[in-house]
Amino acid sequence: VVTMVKKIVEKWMVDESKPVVVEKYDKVAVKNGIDDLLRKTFTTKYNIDETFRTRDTRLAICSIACVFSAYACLYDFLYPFPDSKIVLGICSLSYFSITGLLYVWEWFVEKGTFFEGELNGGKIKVSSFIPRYSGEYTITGECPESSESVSYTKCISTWLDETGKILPDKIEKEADNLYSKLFKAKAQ
Amino acid sequence: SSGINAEWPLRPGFAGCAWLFSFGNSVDMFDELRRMDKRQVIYQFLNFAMIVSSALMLWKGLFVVTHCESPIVVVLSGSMQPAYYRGDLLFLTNQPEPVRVGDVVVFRIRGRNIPIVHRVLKVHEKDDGYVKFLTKGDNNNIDDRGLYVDGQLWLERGDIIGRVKGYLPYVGMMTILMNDKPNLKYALLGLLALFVLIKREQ
Repeated sequence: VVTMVKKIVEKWMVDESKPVVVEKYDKVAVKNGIDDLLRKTFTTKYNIDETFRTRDTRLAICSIACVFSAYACLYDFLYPFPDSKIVLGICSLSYFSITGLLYVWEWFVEKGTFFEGELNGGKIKVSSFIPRYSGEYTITGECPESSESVSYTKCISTWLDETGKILPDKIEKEADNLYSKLFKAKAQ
Repeated sequence: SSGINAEWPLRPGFAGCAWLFSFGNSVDMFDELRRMDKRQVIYQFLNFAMIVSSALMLWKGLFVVTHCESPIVVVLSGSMQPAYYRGDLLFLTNQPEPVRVGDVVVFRIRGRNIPIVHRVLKVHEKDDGYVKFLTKGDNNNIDDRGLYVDGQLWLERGDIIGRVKGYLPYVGMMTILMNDKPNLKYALLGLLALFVLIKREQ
């Protein structure tokens, strides 16, 4: 069964060399596409080890919320309404508190981080942001320990052509730029 | 109903899916999904679970707030016209306040599944707190004794699910339609689920 699943997964995974084309007017797709390619460049070209702390924390918070909700539904199913009132009340409140916590965390801690990694013992964090009705992509790279940080804004047309294809060489140039700026001080 | 058979919601549903797939291919929509790594896939499923959970927790939370096991019901018959028509949505609460004559209540008759919404006609109270009610639909000629169980002449507090506190006209027609044609319900829910699973957010 495991080999069968592996085969299906292989067939499903898209060929790495296939160009990445996104719907250029869909801000979320564009951001995700650029982020993913940058991330790939960091891990393959510079061999930065990706750490997953931020992403795993988010997954954990969501899972805990779902556990509360599942427990409430199960309890209500086994002991129908008037008996389950207290459990339903507590789980409902907890669920919405945890969801609220998720938003707060997203807003204050995660802040658009799409890549976190470690290189030679130094941590690096890269985040990006596209405002609602604009094509201006702001990228921020920082090394939390040394408080080195670089941030600049470019229009997404720097990396996309008219069909929505993300140009890998331009992305690589961007990654080089970030890398050199962040690690310039370290090298010295 | 003439001309409409059980398959009709499925054919437009399939046509819609076929259109979705062809549109998806033209912008390589599925490539974006195929490029997702393990954590991103897990997040898509968690996202879907959270949307379902939000709806469920809102609904169950409503139980607690209203003390009622069925806080939103749909009127199925015309027995309360002109106050409530078939297809109206009713909002119920079941606070421990006493039920009075003139209140519109939703009650369940022992042994029957479907609750009934009618108005309270008579109330009898004893000193020890025991109360019994007689109900009648506004649009009916006679009271509900014909509807109660054989030999039952009154309703008790435990039979009452809740009192009507508010209503929305026509909205419940959607529920009636989906219950009459379950294929439509499954098709709609399936499409919604698909949409949530496929759409990537930030």
